[in-house]
Amino acid sequence: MDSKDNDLLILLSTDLDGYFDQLVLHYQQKLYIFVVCMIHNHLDAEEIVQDTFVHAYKAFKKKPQMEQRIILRPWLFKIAYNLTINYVTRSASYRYQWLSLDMPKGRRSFEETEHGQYLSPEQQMEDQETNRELYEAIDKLSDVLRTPVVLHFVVGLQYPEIAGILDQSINTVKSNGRRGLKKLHAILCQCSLKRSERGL
Amino acid sequence: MEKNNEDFTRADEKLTTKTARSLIQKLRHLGNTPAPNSILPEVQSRIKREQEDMLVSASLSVLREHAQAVGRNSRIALAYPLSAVIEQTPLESVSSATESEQIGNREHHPQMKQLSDVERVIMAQQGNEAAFESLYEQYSRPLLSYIASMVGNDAIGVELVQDVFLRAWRTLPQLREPSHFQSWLYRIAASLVSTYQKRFGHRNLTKLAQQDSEAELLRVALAEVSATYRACLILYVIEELPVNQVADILHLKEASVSKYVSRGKEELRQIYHRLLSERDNKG
Repeated sequence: MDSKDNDLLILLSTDLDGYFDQLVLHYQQKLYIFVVCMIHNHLDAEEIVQDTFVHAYKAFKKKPQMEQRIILRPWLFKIAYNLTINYVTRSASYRYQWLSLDMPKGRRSFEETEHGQYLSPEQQMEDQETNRELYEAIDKLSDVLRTPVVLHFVVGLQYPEIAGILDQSINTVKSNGRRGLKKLHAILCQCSLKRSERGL
Repeated sequence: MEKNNEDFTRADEKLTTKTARSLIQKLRHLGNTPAPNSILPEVQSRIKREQEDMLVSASLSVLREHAQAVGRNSRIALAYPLSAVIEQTPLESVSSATESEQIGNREHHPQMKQLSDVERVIMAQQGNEAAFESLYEQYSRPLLSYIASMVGNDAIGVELVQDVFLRAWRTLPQLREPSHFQSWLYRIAASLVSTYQKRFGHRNLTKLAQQDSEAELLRVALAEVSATYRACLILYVIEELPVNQVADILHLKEASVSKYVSRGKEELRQIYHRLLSERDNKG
């Protein structure tokens, strides 16, 4: 848990309604990308992220001493993970909803990078293409491998945190993460091979 | 050509440190994809709704307690001999009776308590006042809190309860199915309440609006909820009757009752919220 999380928890325990927005702003991006990678659907991912925050709010409201007992980051991801699982079980057809290349309404485009630089249109296209390939490759992973890969490599959580979220031992998570990465690499190679064949 | 391709695959599929690093970098880059801007406002509005819901459900439980307390107090007012109702004596002449006398009256017919509702209804239909009185003792309290919530005033509620039992006593022989006594009683109450409201409207509400305790404010809000939803809401949430009975009393389908209850809650929430902000503005 970094110091920012600690501060946020202290602020939340003093004034939940006043500082909850801070929590949302701090975590919405990581939670969103996690859920998008897991379910491959932008609109529903947005809904699930909202649900996550509402659940968190209710939990804080119900148990005022909550702040002292949790580690914020894995706790939020655990909620999001559970909601995602619920969503997947409920909508068995989720696999057939393919990711659209168009940006959902109200979304900033990739041009706003972390350094605030603008990319040329060619670079943007290339970026989008790489991301789309990655999304599809991640979607082809099995559930067991996908979750640790997304949580560790995409979102950037530590292995002990992921072990807590998935109720698995750290070593299992580590080996699944590594295996997932290998598998992902293989899938991407196959894709580029197919593409080059088609190109020929 | 084919052989070349195979070699290429094998060499490239091996995850070397270098390729792994570039893949991880790509994944990290994917992790920086911005989230939609609409998440925060949406979460804010949903949390606001959640807060209002919590407020309303807390207030509803206050109202339920209030209704039970009203029931307890008014049991004293209602526990005069039933003959007073039947002969239509004004309430004032019996209200001077002390509580011990009333308790004495109530325990006048202990053997009635052992009989089932249906047996007592059948006895009352044959003209047994004692049986009717024990039914009266049993049903006057819940009936009062229902009627008082419907008209938004306890005193009028007490009077209407008397009217209900008077009419029930007169028309009891016409009740064909004694097991439906409770529903039948509430149906009389519902028709009396609607007659009352047609005649007098909501004129008691302004007086109540000046009292600004939360429960009173909620009662005002409740009295403004449209009649169909209000009846369902009161019977189901405050009186805690089962859905099938509510449906029976109000001549509705069970599915409609649960739908009306949730719509009524929503309406109540909005009205309560409006009244609260109006009061705050005045304050």
